[in-house]
Amino acid sequence: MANPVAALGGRALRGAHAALRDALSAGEIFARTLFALRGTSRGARRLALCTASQQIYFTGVQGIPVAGLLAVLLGYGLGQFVGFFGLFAFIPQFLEVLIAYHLAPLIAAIVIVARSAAAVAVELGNMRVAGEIAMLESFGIDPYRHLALPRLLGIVIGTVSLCFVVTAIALVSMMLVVKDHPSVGGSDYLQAIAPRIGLRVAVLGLLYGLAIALVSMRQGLDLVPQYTEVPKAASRAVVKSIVLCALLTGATTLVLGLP
Amino acid sequence: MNGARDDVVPLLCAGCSLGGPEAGGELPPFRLARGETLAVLLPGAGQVDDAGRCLIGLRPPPAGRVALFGEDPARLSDERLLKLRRRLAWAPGSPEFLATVTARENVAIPLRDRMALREQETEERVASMLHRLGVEIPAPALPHQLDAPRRYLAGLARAVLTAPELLIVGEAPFPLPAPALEKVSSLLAALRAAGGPSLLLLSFRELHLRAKADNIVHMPPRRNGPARVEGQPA
Repeated sequence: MANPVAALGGRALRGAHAALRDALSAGEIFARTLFALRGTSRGARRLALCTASQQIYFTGVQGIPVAGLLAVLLGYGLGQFVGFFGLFAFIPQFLEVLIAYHLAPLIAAIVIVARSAAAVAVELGNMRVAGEIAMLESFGIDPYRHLALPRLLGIVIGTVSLCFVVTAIALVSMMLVVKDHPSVGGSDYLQAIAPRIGLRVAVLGLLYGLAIALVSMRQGLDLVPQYTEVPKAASRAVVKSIVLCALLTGATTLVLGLP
Repeated sequence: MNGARDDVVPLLCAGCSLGGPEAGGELPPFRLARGETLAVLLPGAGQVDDAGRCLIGLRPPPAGRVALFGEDPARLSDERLLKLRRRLAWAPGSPEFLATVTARENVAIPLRDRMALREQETEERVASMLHRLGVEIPAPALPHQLDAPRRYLAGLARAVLTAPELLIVGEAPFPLPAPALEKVSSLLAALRAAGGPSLLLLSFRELHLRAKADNIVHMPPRRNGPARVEGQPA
């Protein structure tokens, strides 16, 4: 009978090896995407930026209704919680630590993952299998510039923007619930929102956006070119993106600390 | 650009087996000089696109060596290979298109990528080339909505529009309608007459080739079979 500790250790080692491979591959995609615009024609840059603006719309703007609804529910629920237990003294902590540092950006990230990570992995995966990426390469078109760069820009800018929108909606939603309580005035509530919140939300949005874009592009671009692999790639993109976003939340809290 | 390196031939194929072991024999060494038209007659339709992939470095040839403009695609970095491919264009027998953009947009993609034209000029060039090939593609039509001959012609238009130094044209694996075939022939003839790109025709039907090509290389149907070269092989 196998030693369970050894089996567990072996499994952990394999997991670490796979994670390292993923990280290296994502790093390569990031580097190639960053340098993809170097030395290209004006037409190529214009084409990439045009596609990037479409991606920002798909990722950031079209995600607002769903993310906004979740943000309203989050703010409303926390407001009810504060009111029910009379935790008005802790409103600044609720605003900053709970909403701005953790839940609101994470909700934005989860919406982006659900909407864009799977879509990007499936789209790129199908393109790989159908030979569309090879077609681009046959014309000397760099797929990292034509396909990866617009998606990276779109997802990163869309995620940062959506993090701000979701945080703002959640804060306003909570304010509307607690504003009538005598100990909480509207201006007091707004004054409790520290400017540093904006920076933290931007950092989280940037990290989430990079993680989601790189994970989903890696799953799409690096898959074995068979149609049966595409749904698996989409599933992996979603699961890995969510796990990575959760880990990044914890890491950001550890590195940047709490107020 | 054409006269930049006159000493370097656009394509040199050194004893290649272009289509893999299943494809049969090896090609004899051949070179495609500047402005020349060469036809490679392959044993079957299945080898046409495989040969194209080998020649432009999308896959290594199973045997032998290919040199594009003096460089071996198999030994180049991705960046240099992409740069090299921007000097040529390949119109496969069964072209691929981006499924999510319209067929006309697909035709325009390499043109947009290589030249910084105004949007209107790009659209005009695309429309003009499609008209020249006699193919009607409605503006909103997606690639999957086109029948096979129109897909083939759209792929050819996409390649020709980039004004390459070397144009590789694969024959369609199905018989083209006679008017379309005539349009393709006259387009290729016009390119030759205008001193256009070096032209490599990958074909599996000998019909019409004699009139189009300066030289014809016959690839034998079986591995190690005898190869025949007509014309003035290098």
